[in-house]
Amino acid sequence: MNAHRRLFTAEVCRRPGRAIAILVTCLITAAATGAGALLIDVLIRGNPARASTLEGVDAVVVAASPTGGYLRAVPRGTLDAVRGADDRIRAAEYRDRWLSLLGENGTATPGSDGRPTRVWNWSAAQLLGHRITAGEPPTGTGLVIDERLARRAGLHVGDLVHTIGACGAVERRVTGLVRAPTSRTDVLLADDTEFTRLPGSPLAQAVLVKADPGGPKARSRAVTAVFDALKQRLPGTSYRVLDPADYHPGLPDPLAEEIDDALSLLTLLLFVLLTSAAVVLGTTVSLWVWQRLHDLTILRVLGNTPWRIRWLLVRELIMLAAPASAVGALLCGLPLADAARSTLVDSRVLPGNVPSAGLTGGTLAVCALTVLFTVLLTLLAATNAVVASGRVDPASVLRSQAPVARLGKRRGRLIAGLVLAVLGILPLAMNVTAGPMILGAASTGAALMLVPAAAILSPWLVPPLARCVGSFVAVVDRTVGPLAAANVRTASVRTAALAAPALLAMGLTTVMLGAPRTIDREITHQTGQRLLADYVVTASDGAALPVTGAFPARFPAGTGTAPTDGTTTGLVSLSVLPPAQTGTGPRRWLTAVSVDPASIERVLDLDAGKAGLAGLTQDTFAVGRSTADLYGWTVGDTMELTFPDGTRRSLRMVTIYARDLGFAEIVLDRSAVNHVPDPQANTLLLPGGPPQEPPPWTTVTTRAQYLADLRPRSAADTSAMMFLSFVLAGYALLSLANTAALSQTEHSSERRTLRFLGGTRSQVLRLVTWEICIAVTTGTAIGLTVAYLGLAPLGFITAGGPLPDLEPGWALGLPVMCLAAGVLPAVFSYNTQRKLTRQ
Amino acid sequence: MGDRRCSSVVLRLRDVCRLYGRPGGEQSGLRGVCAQFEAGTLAAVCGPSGSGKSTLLMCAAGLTRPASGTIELCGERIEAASERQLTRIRRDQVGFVFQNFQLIESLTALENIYLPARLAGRRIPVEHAVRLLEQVGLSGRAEHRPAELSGGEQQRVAIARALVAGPSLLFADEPTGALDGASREQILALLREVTRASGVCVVVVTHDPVVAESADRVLVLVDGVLVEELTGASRDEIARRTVARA
Repeated sequence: MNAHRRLFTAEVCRRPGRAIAILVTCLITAAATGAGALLIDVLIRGNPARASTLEGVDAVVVAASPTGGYLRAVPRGTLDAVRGADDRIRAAEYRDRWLSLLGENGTATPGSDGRPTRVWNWSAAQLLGHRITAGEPPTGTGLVIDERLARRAGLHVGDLVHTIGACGAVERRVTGLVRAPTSRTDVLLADDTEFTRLPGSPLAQAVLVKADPGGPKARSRAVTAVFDALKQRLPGTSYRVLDPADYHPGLPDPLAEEIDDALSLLTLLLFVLLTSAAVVLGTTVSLWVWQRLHDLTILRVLGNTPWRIRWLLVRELIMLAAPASAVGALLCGLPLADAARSTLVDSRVLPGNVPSAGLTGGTLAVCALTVLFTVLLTLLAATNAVVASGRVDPASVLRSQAPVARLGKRRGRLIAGLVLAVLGILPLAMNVTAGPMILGAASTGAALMLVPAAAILSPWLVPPLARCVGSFVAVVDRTVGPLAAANVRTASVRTAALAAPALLAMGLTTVMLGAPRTIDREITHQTGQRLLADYVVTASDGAALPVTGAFPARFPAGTGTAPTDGTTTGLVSLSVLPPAQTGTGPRRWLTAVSVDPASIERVLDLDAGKAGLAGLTQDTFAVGRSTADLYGWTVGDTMELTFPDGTRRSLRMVTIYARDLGFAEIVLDRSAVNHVPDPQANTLLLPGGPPQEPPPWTTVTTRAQYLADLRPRSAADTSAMMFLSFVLAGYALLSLANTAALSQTEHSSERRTLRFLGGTRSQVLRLVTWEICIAVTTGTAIGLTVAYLGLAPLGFITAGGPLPDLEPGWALGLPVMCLAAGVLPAVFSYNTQRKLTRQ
Repeated sequence: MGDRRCSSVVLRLRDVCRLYGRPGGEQSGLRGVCAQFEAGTLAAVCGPSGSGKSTLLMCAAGLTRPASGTIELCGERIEAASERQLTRIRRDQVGFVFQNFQLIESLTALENIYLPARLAGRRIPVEHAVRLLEQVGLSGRAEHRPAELSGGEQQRVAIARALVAGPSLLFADEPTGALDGASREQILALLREVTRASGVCVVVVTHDPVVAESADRVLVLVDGVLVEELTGASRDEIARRTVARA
């Protein structure tokens, strides 16, 4: 064993607390990072959204979207072009709409996924291999029903059944039952001609391709032939030929959206977690080096060069971080990932069929990478302290002085903190005149950058405020308060190390929970202002609202009535793509809503100025203030908008509406529905008296009730933010506890002196408590202040005033938890040392 | 403070034994030590390393409980006293001076002196602390922190701190061990002055014959046994006796 290794072993044996602090921090970091990475790996590799409902064909031809992905409709002529590609190719158009079966009591029969059931065209079903098991293929308005669904709904061939679809209620006859061996959804099948009678775009959503004979070679040949044929016959359109597993029919796949949201959440979590880990590891290692300065100074006296001392520390850190990271990633990461998965599934952030991270080669590879990454992160975070350790003055030993190395306040740290702060503020400054949504997003982003920046700058920010808090403590407790204040003032490295985790916990969770709440507050406010309707109708589970041929939507005869005076307005959601424009970020689809201009102003007040929305035509559109600000559009501009079925139309902007938060970015007239492949109304807004006998598949609420129940954010989003906050706060609190315990080891001599001088045990405990309280209070105060400052622009643009909205439970509970996380380990550590000293 | 000071015999030890180590393998630290210390005297406990000097101090100050025997401090039996009683006695009657000073680094010299009174919850006029600082010759150093003082100056602050509560007994554990010759002389002179002027009983634990020479009497401790008591002995004689007994 060489001298340095013996020195390290002796140090660990003599003062295990110091090593344990580093070990625990690395272990927690590796466990949290590993769990996050494993979940991301599971979501990417074992994405359950890839399960296809179109198994049975070799390829799906779709029109390419200008933003990537694909459009929800293919141009006319696509089927002919595909069929003409090769004699061995069979093809069929694919059409897919929502259609709910109504039971005897008038309620909708949901599919096995709880959503409205789907109806496909018969020719697509035939190509997919659906086989009639009873009755005949569909004709006219007739339906063929999946055997499982028929069993569940108690339906037989020849039965008459009421359905509710985009065109309203229709009575249909069950002409047959079908078995769909590979389909994963409950499906209804209708004759192809029936789809041309439904509202919405007349275009097919895709073309299904099957090659004869089957097999990879035939498939590859078919894909090539289809590509060539499309290129030759329809040169103006971009196509994609997809594997069926990559195609999600109907509306944007909610499962895929959930997976994407969860991936975004976990990526954000990892980013913030790693930023926090870098800060916490940096401060913990600084404290560790600071406490060892005396030993390091002696090593300098004994002839070690500064770089040799730094190398010694690097080796020691690797020896501590590597095993701790390995244990954290391998033994704790996997169970933690499973626990996180269960929590996220329970809170509906993740879909239920996301698999667990099993012990596979991929899992081990992720864990190995996590270990490597954690060790590198530890070394990176320790750079400041390690570099400073080489600057100890060997003469301080001869002068019997405490060795000094400026561990806390290094120029590099100052620059890093300031750069991060500027990077946070810059987007905010650039968007100060932008609309509420842009400014809100910039404000949240700025706050999320400013909090870690404040943590990095804690050696400069914490001491002045800690002095103020210390002065207060000195007044409150005249016995040990002044000593606590003096200790906090003198040991600024330790104070900053204790304050940093509390700062991160308070600041980050305040931003993450406060920003959405502030936006939600404004959405609720604006919704209250814009909603004039007296009643709001929504669909119950398993159904949707019709758009009907006779727009606005009306309740179908026989199942209920609704006002037929032309005042009812159904809001049909869609998306439109604006033309490419520089300086507005990536091109994206904008949320839009199709309304009835004749009645919109009786049920909604969007604050659209004098022009209003009543004058909307098929050639015009209205834009929300935030979107107009973002794109720099003004009234009178003409834009070429792309609709969901790929149709491009030049529309003129006639007005800008101000109350756009929580509402569509663009408002179009009802003709827009003709470009939506599968239209459905989200809500019906009714002025005047209550609807008479509303259908059982609808839910009618009064305006007041609707506003009271309004939850701008989905429960899954709220749960996701809570989860994120819990993980970050938990990490920060564990780090705080760790640092608090570590900070006591250097104080044992002082505590003994106090006892010699007649200090009671309770006085020493009070001293310990006050020291932690001062640091933690300072940290939480700075965290809260920085979060508030970052969110202030968001608060200003909302109606609630300059202060952002906070989660009251967190705002009160977290400081208490921070204090507990700091005080309890410190007291425990002091008691342990006391007992050891007695022995 | 004077009214709390005990008269005549400040500390009395009778057959004090103290064992070290685990049950079954104990080693004796003190064996039947009997001694008494009077007010206004400066006593030195002398002996080679490992003779039990520090153990004697710890027992006498109530920091360690003896295995047997009795210890009477200012008339109060302390060998079986509760932790709370011991804390009170230490706070009111005992002052400590250490080899490595043990000043609180974060406090100034004046604040360090004032600390015991603060811990005791007493309102001692700040003039008293300033006067003590003057008494130890550091009137201009009140606002300096320990890191800004020399070793001798730090030890003088430590002595002033030990005296601020007006103790009857002052224990000094190798008070000059970390000091040079000139500083050592200053500290010894200060301890003698304190003994004379304040009537405090000062017990100095040392292995340095030069320090022991300045005491009124010297107790030689060897292997936990008080083997001899010398009065007016020279440093050579003390050294010789200590080595001879070891």
